[in-house]
Amino acid sequence: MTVHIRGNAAVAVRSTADALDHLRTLIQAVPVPTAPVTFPSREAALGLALMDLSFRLDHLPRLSEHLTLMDRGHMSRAISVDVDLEVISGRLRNTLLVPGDAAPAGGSPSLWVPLSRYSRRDLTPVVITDSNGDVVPRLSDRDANRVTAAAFVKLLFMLINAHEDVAAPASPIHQLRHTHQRSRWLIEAAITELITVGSPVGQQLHSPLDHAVLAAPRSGSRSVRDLALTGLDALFPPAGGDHLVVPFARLLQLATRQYILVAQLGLDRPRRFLTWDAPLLPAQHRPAPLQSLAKNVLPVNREFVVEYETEIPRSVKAYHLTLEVRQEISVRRFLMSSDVDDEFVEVLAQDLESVARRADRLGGHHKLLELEMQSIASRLAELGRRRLIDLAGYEAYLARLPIPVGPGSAPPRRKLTADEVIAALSAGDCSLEVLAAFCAHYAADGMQHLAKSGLAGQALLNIANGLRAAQVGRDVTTDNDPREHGAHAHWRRPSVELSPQSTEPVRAFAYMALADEAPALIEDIARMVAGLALMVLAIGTLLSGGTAWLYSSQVSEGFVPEQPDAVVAVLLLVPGLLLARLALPSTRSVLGQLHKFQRSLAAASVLVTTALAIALGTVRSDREMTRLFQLALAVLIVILFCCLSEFYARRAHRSSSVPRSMRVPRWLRDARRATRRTVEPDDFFDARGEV
Amino acid sequence: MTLPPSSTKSSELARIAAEAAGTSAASVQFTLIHGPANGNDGPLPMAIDTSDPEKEDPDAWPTDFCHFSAAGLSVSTSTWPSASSAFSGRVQIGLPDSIGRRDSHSYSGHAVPNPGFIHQSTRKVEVLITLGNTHWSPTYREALMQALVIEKLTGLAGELGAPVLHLHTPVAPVPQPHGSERGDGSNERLRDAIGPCLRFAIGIDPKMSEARLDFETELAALAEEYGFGLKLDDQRFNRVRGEWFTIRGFDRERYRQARGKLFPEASVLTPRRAMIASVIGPSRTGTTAAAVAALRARGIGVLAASISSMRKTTFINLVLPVAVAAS
Repeated sequence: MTVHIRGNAAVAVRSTADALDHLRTLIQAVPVPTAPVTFPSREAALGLALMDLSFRLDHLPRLSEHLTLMDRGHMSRAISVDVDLEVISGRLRNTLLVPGDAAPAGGSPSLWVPLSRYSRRDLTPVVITDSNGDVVPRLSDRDANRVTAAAFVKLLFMLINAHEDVAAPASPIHQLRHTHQRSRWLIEAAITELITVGSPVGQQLHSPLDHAVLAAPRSGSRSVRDLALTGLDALFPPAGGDHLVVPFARLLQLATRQYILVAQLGLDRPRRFLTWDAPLLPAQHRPAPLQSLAKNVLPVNREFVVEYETEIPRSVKAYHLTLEVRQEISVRRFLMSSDVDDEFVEVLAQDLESVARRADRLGGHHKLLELEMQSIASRLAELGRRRLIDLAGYEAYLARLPIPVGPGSAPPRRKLTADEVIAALSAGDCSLEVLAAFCAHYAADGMQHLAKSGLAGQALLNIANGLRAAQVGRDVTTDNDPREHGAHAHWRRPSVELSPQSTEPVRAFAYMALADEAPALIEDIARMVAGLALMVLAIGTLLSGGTAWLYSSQVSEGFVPEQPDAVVAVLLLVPGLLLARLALPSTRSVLGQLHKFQRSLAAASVLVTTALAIALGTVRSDREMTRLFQLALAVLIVILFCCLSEFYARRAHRSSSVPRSMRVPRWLRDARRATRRTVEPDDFFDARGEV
Repeated sequence: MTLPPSSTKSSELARIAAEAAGTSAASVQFTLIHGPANGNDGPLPMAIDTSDPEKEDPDAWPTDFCHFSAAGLSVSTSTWPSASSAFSGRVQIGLPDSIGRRDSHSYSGHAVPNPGFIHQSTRKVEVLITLGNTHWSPTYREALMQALVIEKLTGLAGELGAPVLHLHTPVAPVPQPHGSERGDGSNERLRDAIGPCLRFAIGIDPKMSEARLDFETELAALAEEYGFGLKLDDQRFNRVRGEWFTIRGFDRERYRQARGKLFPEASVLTPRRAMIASVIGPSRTGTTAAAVAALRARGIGVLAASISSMRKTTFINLVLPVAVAAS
């Protein structure tokens, strides 16, 4: 995990460069226009304003998502947002004004307001309703695409205009702007085409060029295309330069992969509550055949683990995630973790590494090194404080579970001195207790003059690795819904934003373990199997006239009844009636998955009694009949043991203190000394769209 | 699992573009007024678009305004978003207009904003450089020294590709003797400033901490070489802007020696006359270093400087000493 984060810079640059590659392909493929693509300046302004607001979403103070698990493999989401139009600045508001919205007498003008971005793959129509249930008009995707294209054309024109070469004759930028306008029109046409058609993730852009061998390399439009490509390279130099290529390419990438959800909202009610149903989410099944087979055939008291991943705009102040399942299912654990401080931790880790590598040079300027060390220490202390609050919340959650997981499983607390803390950190131990102790010592002014301590130098590299490995950038929010078949997590933006400039959305993971809690099916089945075993025991005892057949190898005379019909009827009818009383769910549902093993236990017990009934009707030997009764009873007892081990496994699951998921932050697992390896979830839902 | 690429900068690009290209905005209109400070007519006015300021037209007022005054001269800058795009090139500036005050001139023009000047998402590194510990009375030699310092600092930033967010000198000038009462009505005395300083800020991507450390190390080395005092903004988590961490104190003797060695020819007289020069253009890294280097190449120092960026257009206002022969 850590390795992936570090290696991502290159991946990011490459993946965003794809968007520009697609643009280059289209510059080669689209016909050279003889006139510019004209967009009214109003549309360009609207497109830019929508793009800007759709990234920041400052005007959405609260976001709620309500998840319903339809069946195994599908999840429906209802999204509701609070909108505050007052937050949108006056000038931006003028741009967003819906044109031609002739306000009828007394009515007020309305704005186009972006509410969300969603993947272009989702084609379900989205209907937005407000708190009165009235449907809110939407900007069609086609119109949204047109204004986005207009925005890009405008942005490109602005970048060309402000480029330093624009006044240098014979430079490609000058030619694009003043003398060879057809090349600029070509870029504009290519951008328009790209945004209208879109470019799905991970696919090559197909163009007519794939099917043709072009004969004359220097014919007609070639020079126009070449200049367009050279101009694009001059505007966005691939390496070095003014680092404009990544932001622009990323912007283009998002515009070609996502739609903006835009609603028309009247200014008369600046604060609104809107709801819509997001497209149905299909599960991304993880192939783990051996694991699921083991879960289905062993008495391990199966839990159905669902993980959900979504994105929250960073400006959202409060986020609610609620989950509802069928009443028969209990939500055993519900936990949310977000990467809200990940960026901060990554910057801190990079600072640590840079200081470590430059310790010699910085050493010459003692005060400079001290400033860096103090800056690092203050941030480490803040991280420790935050995660400690999260841990306290998690402990409280465990304590208020229906079957509480007490502090018994938690390790005893150690108290560390300042020297011990520095020694532990130097060794790369960034566990929560060390960070918390560091926080306490820092607050008590015990961490002054760090430049002279053993922390400066190589130890910083260990801390950087420790921070990344412990995933201290992730917070934890727990369930606070008292119902058993529902869950609710309330995430709040921290009061002090650690990466204040960032508008990167916060990724949130939710872990849900669904289980069949008491009164559960397994209890009914255990009773049924016990009843059947007793029935076999009783019939056997009645037939042999004593209990000696159970333990003695002696075979009593007359074990085979003269008239077996009554016994056969009892052996067939009783299990049938008991089985019919059990409510066995469909195999497609989540409950069906949970009950897979238990259902086979019930079927096996009925099979045993049915086989015994058949034997009673056919076997005439006392000896064989005795052995068959003994065998049937033994099998039923084995089945009963399986039921009991299900109870034991359920108890073990209930008392598990930390979910075994790789999405649960490492520091939480370390804090509770959870050493068992993580397992893949049964279902994984990704609501982030194509990013 | 891979992290998606960061969209913070893209979002900022969209934001700048959206601000720059509103319904009625295609370029930046600016007005620049040069004039004497503390003249009989009071401070320079803020430029207003219409003749009737009573009219309730929000667009008549500039969106950004900057006023700077030093060495008896002041310059005031106002910008508006403008719908006009009918000019070629990056900047268009008109002939000076008189605004009805003595020795004051107003210049109006248009400039294209540079949406690629992305720095909101960067980490601001602020630097306070102490260039003396007595009253501010710069000589020609000191002006040259100051120009050298500005050129070095902005050059350093330019090498790293870090934009200069603002640069002002002199800051914290020694207060006027009659200004011992604070404007807020409290009886607390104005604290004496420690001496003329230069304050500037650059933006560095937080993910490029190596560049930041290199910049700080180079700064400390420069401070050691020339003897000027160096303070950096306190980067500790719970500190606010304006709290400084002293890296080096001002070394008066070394500063004097360095000045004498570098500019032995320059006069040690205080200039009697000064003039304002303004450079305006779309914001871009390295502009300030180039402007000051061009001046220094001609043997001209800098008495005072105010460099700021408004609506992605940079205004470099320099107060230059007028040579004795010219005056």
